[in-house]
Amino acid sequence: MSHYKLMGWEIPTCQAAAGKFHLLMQSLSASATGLCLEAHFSELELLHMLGNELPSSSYACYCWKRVAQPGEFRDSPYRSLGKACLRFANRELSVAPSLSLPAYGWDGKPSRFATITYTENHIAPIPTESRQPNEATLKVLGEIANTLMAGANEGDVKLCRSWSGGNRSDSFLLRAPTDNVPQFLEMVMAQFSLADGIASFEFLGSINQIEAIYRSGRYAFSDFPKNSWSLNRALQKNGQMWRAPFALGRDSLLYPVVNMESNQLPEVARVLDGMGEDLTVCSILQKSISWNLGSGRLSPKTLDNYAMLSKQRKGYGIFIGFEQYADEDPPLKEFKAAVVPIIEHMGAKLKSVSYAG
Amino acid sequence: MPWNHYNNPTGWQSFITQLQRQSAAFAQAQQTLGVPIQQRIIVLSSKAPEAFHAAQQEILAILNENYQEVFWGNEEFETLLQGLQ
Repeated sequence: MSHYKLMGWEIPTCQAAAGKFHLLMQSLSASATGLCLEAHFSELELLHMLGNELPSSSYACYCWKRVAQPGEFRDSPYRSLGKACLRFANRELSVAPSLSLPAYGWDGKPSRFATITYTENHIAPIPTESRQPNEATLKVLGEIANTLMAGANEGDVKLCRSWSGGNRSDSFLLRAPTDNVPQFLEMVMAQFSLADGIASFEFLGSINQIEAIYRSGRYAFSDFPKNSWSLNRALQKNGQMWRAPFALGRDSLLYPVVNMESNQLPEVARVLDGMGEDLTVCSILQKSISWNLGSGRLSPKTLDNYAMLSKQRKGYGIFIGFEQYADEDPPLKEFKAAVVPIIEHMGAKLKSVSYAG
Repeated sequence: MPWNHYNNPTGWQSFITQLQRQSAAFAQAQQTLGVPIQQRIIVLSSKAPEAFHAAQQEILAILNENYQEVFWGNEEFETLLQGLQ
């Protein structure tokens, strides 16, 4: 994968970046695909500002609460759980989207499956009877899977052992439709007598649904307890790690989901500019692009062929990426030979960047 | 393990992407070989410092899906190797 920043353009606002982005894509890309907007907000009011222009059922909030009993998961917010991490004495339960991104032809849709992980932690010295993962646990999880998904059994439970400092964690993983997640959580908590835990959640929903969760008073949005943290992506703010309480399109580089069309970009950019410094993260990403290589030649839609505009410390930056996945795909040399003259004609230059620095 | 990258969110994303890619390579290798890879083991060069517990969890979530055994630190892996001798 090769990553580049476009240098030489002063881009003070998101609207200006959107204009450049549009021109760039018209020249370099052979196909228009949807966009992934990632934005993090410190205040609920900012969601309302954006929600008027960009209705979505994927707005997110990040909060925590103490969980006492399994029945809690029957409440409506749990029907749209994005992520969860529940911690009990020496056991954990987590939920995460099950996303497998293809090398080519990514469709931009969210996953309809989640991975539910039940973990048993064994602290050193580990007694002889706990040297191996608990087979009874595997059996119970298989039975739960069978109750909720026709044909599933303990063979569908994946086991991973993790060793650290003489301690061992046994994680049992189940992939399930997202609709079944609340029932899974309830059954796992009931079967393993999990009670009095600390839970951190990412809830997804429309602006009204997020507001209802926020105003319900049942969840805390700050002062996360020790060993629990917000599930939003961490970012640096005033030299410290910080996670915003609200977001749209979290971690779009890693888990992209299309949530906006190209024709919405100018108006959305105008709203985002209106948020000023209260908008803590803002990026707009187009993935799986077919690059125009000239002479009628097009690159395949490799996942990491991307273009992104992203809020920087000062103004906005535009980045592009190229990926030769298979040997028979066009090489980087061909991509650069096609795009560099066009970019230079537009008054910019490509600078290779490494995201690991 | 680049724990210091956690303070650089973009660098951290890049590291997680590399892990995702490594995992995806298993699927491709299995397809090429035509046989399942039964036992996937990964050894990470260091344990997570206390302040990076959240980072460890993010990595572990990916590793859990793609490996059978995860060793945090070379000492752990050496213990495993000694057990095999």
